[in-house]
Amino acid sequence: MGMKEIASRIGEANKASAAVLEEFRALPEADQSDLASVLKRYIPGKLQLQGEEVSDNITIMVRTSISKATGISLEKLREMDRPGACGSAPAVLAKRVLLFLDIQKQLDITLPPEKLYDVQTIEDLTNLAFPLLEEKKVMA
Amino acid sequence: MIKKGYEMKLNVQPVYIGLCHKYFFEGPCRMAPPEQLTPEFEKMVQPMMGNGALEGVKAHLANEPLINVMDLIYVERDDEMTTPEAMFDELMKNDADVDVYMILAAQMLRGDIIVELAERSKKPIVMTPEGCCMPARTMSHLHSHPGLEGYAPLYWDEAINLLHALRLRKVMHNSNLLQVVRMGEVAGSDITSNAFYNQREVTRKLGVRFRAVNLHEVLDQYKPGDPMANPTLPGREGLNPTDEEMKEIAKITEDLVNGATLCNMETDKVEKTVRLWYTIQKFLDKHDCNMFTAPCPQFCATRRANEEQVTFCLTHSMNNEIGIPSACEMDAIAALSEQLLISASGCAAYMGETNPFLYFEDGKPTPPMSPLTEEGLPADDWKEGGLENEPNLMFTFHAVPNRKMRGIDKPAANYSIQPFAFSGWGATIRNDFREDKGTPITMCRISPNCDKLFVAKGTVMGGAFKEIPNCKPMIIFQVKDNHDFYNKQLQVGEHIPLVYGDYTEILKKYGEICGLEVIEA
Repeated sequence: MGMKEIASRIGEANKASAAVLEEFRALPEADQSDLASVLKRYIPGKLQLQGEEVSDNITIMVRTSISKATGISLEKLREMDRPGACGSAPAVLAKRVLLFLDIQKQLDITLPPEKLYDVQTIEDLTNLAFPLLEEKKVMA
Repeated sequence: MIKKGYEMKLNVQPVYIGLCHKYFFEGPCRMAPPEQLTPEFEKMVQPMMGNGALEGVKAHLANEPLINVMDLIYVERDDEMTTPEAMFDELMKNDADVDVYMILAAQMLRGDIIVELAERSKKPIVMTPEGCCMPARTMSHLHSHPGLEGYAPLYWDEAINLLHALRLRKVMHNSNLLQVVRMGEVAGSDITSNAFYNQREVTRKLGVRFRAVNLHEVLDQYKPGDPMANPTLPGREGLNPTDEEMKEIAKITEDLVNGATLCNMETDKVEKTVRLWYTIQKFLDKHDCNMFTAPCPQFCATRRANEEQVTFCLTHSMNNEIGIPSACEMDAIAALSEQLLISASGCAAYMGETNPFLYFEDGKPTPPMSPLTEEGLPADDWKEGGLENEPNLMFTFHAVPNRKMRGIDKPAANYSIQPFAFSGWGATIRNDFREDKGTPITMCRISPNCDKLFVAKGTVMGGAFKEIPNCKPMIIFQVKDNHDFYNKQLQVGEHIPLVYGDYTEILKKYGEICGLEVIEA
């Protein structure tokens, strides 16, 4: 697959994911289950995962996504994914953080960094993000 | 209060120092894909890296219940590279409880903080192993500061041994030896040549403290009766067993006798010996000691052992069984060595005279002693199990085996009770060491001037003379080279305590961090 094709696929995945979040933002009275349902579609879309690759566990999905993109097996990836030579983050962690930053931006909230290590599942993320959205509504 | 060494934990304070740049830029020391160079990314990723590193530490130490990993301390430095006092307030908020600071996944621009933490806290620094890439730059600086202590093991197995060695050092710093004295046993070379040359030097080097009580005062207080009427302490309240305690002593005696596969003594004579152990517990508690030793020849020569019909053998056995190192013949060195072994292994120790079998032209082992002090005793007992053809055999003998050599928290081993004296007094516990054939053992002993630590390993091959009175029961074990063992043993002494299991790497590391020359056999 050429670079252009890869870029085009990423662009399309981003568009599709953004549309999912747009639906959520358009809901007049979205509740916690609406957010969970949206994140369940948004995250796999963003990571370009399908079918059995989709899971409730964000870290597993991120790892699967990196494995697909690099062609490195999941087992090997688990073994070799360490911090970089000058202290940069391991690949799975870096991608997880980029995903959180993206969701933070899309929902216009600030996720508390000290709580994010324990956010493993979509349910965990929903439980963390939804009260922040509610708080934002009140502030507005 | 008796604080047992084998239960003491090492408190490890994990620390992660995050580096969060204040601005987005790429430069010669900052290399990553652009989206990972934002302050937002670093603010989010650094705490997660700290937690990830902590999870790795906990996974590696999951089977080490005596290494207590405290809650993570996370601090941040930014690219202003300042060193605020508040950072050290946070880093050292638990300092009173911390034994070791463990620096997780340390990277560049943190070394000065780590060195300063060592300077301020005077605590050892351990960097987590199997990481990349800059432990040497921090360690080299740390080691250049006199008095600072830092370690950066390459692999986790080394790190675990190091933590256990540091734990042993903590144990020794929190250990007090109770010595029952009659003459000048604690000062320099004593009558049985088992003493440290200078106990104050041992305190300075190893942190152990030494306490003493008088033999005759102990023997007076071992008797039930008016605690104000002890001949050696008239009008001063003693620790004599009360009526209630005498009932407890009777129960302990009954259980001891009933649990034995064979008891060759009258119960009232066993009870006297149990009573001495019980009284010693009260002395240990009163003096806040967790190790014990008492004299043999000096006690024997008073004739009071014969008069009272007790020896300290059972006290040593039962002390060791509950994790209180306890050594015969006023051997403070053996008691301290036992503390290392017991605390490293969680198993009760055994100690005694350690000697090689002799090998002459026929290449067969010859014991250099005979139990034949009385006609009809089994001279060839030791050969059972085909030992007469085994090379490099050694033996250790004293009447202080115990039931918990397989583990203080494990079920008791089979045992018999035999009198120490041919005339039927002085209860002793006897093991059948043949049941443990093939078990690895670790031995150690500190030298009299406290500058060397002898560390050896062997394998249990059998035992002998377990039904013979006196000091005769022995464990027989095999070493790599018994002649080499013997030559090296000459530098440390006769009593070489042992425990089951292989803990040699931990002990060697302990010797190294305490500045002792390790002699290995």
